[in-house]
Amino acid sequence: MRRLVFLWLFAPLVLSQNYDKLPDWAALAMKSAATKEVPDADVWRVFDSTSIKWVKGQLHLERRLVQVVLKDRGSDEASVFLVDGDDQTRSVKKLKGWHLRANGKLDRLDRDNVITVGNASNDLITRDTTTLAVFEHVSKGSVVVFESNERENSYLGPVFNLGVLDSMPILKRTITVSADGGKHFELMPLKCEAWGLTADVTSGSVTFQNLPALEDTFLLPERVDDYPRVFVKLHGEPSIDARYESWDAFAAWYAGAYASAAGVSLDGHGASSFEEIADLMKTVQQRVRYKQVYLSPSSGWQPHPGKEVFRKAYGDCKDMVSCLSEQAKQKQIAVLPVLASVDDGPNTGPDSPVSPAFNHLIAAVPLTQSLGLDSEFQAGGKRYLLLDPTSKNTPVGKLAYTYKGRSVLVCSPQGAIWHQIEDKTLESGEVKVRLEGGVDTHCTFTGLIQIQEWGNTYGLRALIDNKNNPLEVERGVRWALDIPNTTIMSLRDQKVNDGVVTLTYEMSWASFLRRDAYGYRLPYAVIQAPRATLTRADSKRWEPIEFGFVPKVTWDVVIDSPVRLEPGEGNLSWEGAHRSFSWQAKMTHQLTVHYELWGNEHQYFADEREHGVQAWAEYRKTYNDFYKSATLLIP
Amino acid sequence: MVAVIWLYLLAQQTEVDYSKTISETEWSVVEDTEKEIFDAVILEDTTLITATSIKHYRRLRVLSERGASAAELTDISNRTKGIEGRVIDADGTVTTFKEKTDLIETLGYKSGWTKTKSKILVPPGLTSDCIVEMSWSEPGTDGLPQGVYAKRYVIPDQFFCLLKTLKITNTAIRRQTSFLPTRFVWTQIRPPAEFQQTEKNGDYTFVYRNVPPLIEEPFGNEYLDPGMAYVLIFKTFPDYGKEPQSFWSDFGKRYVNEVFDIPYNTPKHYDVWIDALKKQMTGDLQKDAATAFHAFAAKYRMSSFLTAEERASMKPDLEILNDRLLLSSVEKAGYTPAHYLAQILMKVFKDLKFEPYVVFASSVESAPFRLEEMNPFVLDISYPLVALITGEDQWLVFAPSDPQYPAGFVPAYYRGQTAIGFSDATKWGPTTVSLPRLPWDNHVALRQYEMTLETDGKAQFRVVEQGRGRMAARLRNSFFQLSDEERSDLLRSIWQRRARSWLISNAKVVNASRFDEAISCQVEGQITLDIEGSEWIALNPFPGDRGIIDLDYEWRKQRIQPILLPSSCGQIDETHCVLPEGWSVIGDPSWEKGCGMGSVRFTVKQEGRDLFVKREMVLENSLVSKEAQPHLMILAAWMEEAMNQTLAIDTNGGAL
Repeated sequence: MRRLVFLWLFAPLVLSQNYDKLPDWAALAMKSAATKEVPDADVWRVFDSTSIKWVKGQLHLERRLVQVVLKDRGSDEASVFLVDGDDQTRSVKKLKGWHLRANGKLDRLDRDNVITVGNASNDLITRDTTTLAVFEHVSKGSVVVFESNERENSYLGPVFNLGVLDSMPILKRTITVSADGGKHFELMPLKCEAWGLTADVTSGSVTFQNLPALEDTFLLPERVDDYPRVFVKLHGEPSIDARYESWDAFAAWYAGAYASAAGVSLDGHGASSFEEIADLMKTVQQRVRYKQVYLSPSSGWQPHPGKEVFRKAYGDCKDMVSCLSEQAKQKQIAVLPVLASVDDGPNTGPDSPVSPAFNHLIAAVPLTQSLGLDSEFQAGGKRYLLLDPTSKNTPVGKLAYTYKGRSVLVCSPQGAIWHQIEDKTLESGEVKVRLEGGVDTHCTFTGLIQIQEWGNTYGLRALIDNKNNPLEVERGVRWALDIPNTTIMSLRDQKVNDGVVTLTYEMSWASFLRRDAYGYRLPYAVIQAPRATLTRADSKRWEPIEFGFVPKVTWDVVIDSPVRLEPGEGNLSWEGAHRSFSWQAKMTHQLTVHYELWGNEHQYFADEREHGVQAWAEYRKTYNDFYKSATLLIP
Repeated sequence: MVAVIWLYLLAQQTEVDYSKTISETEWSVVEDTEKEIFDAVILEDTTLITATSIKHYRRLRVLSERGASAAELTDISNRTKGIEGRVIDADGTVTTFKEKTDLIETLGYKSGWTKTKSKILVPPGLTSDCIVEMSWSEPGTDGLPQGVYAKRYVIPDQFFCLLKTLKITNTAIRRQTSFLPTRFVWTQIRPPAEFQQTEKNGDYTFVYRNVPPLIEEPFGNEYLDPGMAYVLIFKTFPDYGKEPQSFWSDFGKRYVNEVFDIPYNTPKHYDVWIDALKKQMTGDLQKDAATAFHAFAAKYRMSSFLTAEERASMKPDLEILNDRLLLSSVEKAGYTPAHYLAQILMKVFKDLKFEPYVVFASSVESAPFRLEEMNPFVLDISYPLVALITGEDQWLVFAPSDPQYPAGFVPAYYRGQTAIGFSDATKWGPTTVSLPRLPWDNHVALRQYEMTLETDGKAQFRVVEQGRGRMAARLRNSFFQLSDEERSDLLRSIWQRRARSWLISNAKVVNASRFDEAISCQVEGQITLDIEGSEWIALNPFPGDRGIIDLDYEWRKQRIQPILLPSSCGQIDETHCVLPEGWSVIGDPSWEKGCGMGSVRFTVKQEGRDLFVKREMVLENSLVSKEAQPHLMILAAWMEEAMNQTLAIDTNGGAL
């Protein structure tokens, strides 16, 4: 009821203006919007159009936006238009704006209100810029219109994805491609149905109506390719088209481009011993610091020459592979570039449309014989070893957990070699924490905390390996385990054996046991707080649901207490579809608690969303009941 | 010939020999946590200030990946030039670098007719075990970087420093004019660091050795760090004298007087308004000043205190004459720029026959104001306070650009500082003003809940949230600029986010735009608690609450600086909940704890079906010594405990 009243209050205020002062296309969009239901939002984008052309080797992009400010607190968001650029590859040829104020006055975009800011820092050395066009005096009822014409010299050619959703509801979103002189193109909505969105596809355009706002909520997908987008590929440049004909063509092209830029040859023999490979990796990893340098149009894809990377002693992932190639060349060992996608990068595989949808580069070294390492694989009668020089703390023969479920593309002059990463290749991630000591009558814990980390799960091994000072490591521990800043920790011991980190601290933890209900609770660092509902009672979840991976964490707590504290339950375990926990607790002369929590990844799209909602509800009820009763320590 | 020799000697003085062998002593510098040597050590850092330039030299021992960042240079001012140096890796490899080949230039900023560049230098060959030497310079004028009126060279750095030298040549400040002459002052440094100062032929040299790194501490002030030392170079105002008393006296008579004297040419609407205000005066200074201040704040508002509609229609064309704002133009413009507010308030108070002082202070986060330094740049000249004397060394202070706070409130960033005031009552001579810190009960957040619980688990609450002092201002800041509908909408979304699983059904803000009335927020919410199969339920008696102060910072074990919190403050939350017949609270959840910093009290009482819960959290002291840190951390832990505590309600008629 409240929502309908809200709409009724706003609609006549907002949509009753004379739009003739705006450009025709914007006026038309506003007139069309006047007949539609106004959403409950701060800003409403009634028109969002991207037109794409490929003209003489250059991408032409025209963007048009029409936005209505529904609430005053939407003024800031609506008044800014951003263009990401690069003073070498992307230029803004035309940027216009109109602001029709609520009182009917029209402002045109002032040149002084267009600012371009460089994005470089000493961590990211880049020519990237952001141009902001800003209107002042924007308020509720304002209609803000932007139009831009941009040109891009893309090293990769006209193959890219365009996002569909934004942080505000969009009445109409159109992506149009025009091809000249018989050239053709591909225009494909991807992952839209999975989000319950309907794409109207005609020849040369994709249109969406009534797109909801993408808000910041929890259990959203992590990877970019799990979001609705439109894949665009324009044909017409034979040299560029050729590389996208097949994965073989793409891989062969990249192998050549990589070798040329790195200043190496991809010929050579295989490695025959673990020592020579480990030696190469150590030389590169000890010498080269990770730093991204993007100073030319091809910087995102072409490495710097290996010799130069070695001299400078810094570079990004592809520079490190280039440096590895250079070092290996001296021993006549071949190194092939391997394209990968990790973290939130798209899950690109052999069945994906041929495109440059990768965000990382690693290496494959041919082997003359098996070395018994987990990251070896065979393809086409040859044996290869995968190496990731960027991941300094991962043992040779293993890959970090972020490669789970991924496929990588080995690029050779002969073509593509796809390889699906097996679980055995991955470092296992696990953490164990042991707390031992006593609590006093103020519930302050004094004692020792010992943390063991396998597989660099929380990045603690990386902090130690980079010789960072103990304060940085302590900061990492607090962040990883959610230990409050009110605790006092002093490092007693630090060890790294076979990649396993063991850290021991003396600790004083005020309010370690805190009063709750009719007893006491362990801190949230040990037993997490009760889970909240997925949505409000008056709304429905429309976004897909993703249960992310949770590495296994085990807490063992042994404490002396001045008072006997009986746990609500002594033994309780639950394994749900995506989350599991296990609890054993008892009071003898000490209170001992053993608690484990872990989780698997799973996604619920489209019609399966309701199953996801139910899975969360089941987990929430089970966990909250467990939290409420089992973990209560009763004096 | 003499000139040639002089230039040759000057060049010799500044040239770096990059072929020099690095000593074993310097290579053997290692981490030492006790001395706070980690990541990198500055072996030598020299700044040479001449008439036309400022030259820098630095030699670093890098011990870790993080320490390597100490050798990287980012210059967004685009003044740096002549960068060169070398990196010597631990394995002996030497990589040299020069500006021409290794400096990267990118766009800094471009707008209209302005364009600047950024320069970045990452020395090639920089590893996590090496020594870096580099030098660079920037143009200077009269001993300062170009375009800068004051420069403080802070001696402690991010990393431990073995030797830091600052040299000011006599040529740098030789050209002294009567208009903005350059002066410099310096401080010593406490042991174990060492300090030596020499002067020869007008060249001053300051040498500091074994300087521990400067640490940022939460609610600290690095200028109050015992390890703090600096050399401050600044342009003074036109020759106002060489002694503090005469300097500040001249400053008041010749600068402050001109800016803050009565603006002339008051328009008719002002005269009518001030006459009406005069009629409201009672003779009680404190009361009258508060009345006048509220009226002033309602009439002369900065853009951040306009509603969105008013902001959209404001016109930027104000008329300024001789640094005085013409009041006739304020009405047309629809707003008043912040830095003219003190000027107008002084005029208003004078017209009402008070004797106001314009007061300048420095922020708690920057260097404290010291009369003997004779440095006006450390004061916040743009946003002064206005004060009235109410007793011996007792001041009633107003912050014209912070009208959301009550009369007498001093903004947190000035509180507890020593300030300087001027008034025509003292013929614009200087008066020292101690800015007060008010007790905790001047800044209190208050929430009163009414709650009901049904046998089917349905629960409802209604809360009224109010505040005093800073807590009221916190509420007003969120809502002032919005319309009534939007205030409700924003309040509802804020509480929904905080109350998580509850459904907020109603939200209203009252008196958001009146400075002279108490603001209050009224919120209602519902939930259905899961009681199926349970013998008891966990009830949160204060859904949607929030704390009074964020203390979730990184606290170093051995604190060095005193603790400067925004203010003493308190929070009092009360709930009256009506339970179903036979339901009762299990156990005795009441408790209280206190220490030197404050206290937390949680009280639960049941009388029949009526359940009363009260939670009081008090931060008593806001300006304390470093030794109080453990007590502050404990208080923070107790506050968090109280914020998360739920009540167990037996639903089985006392079976538990």
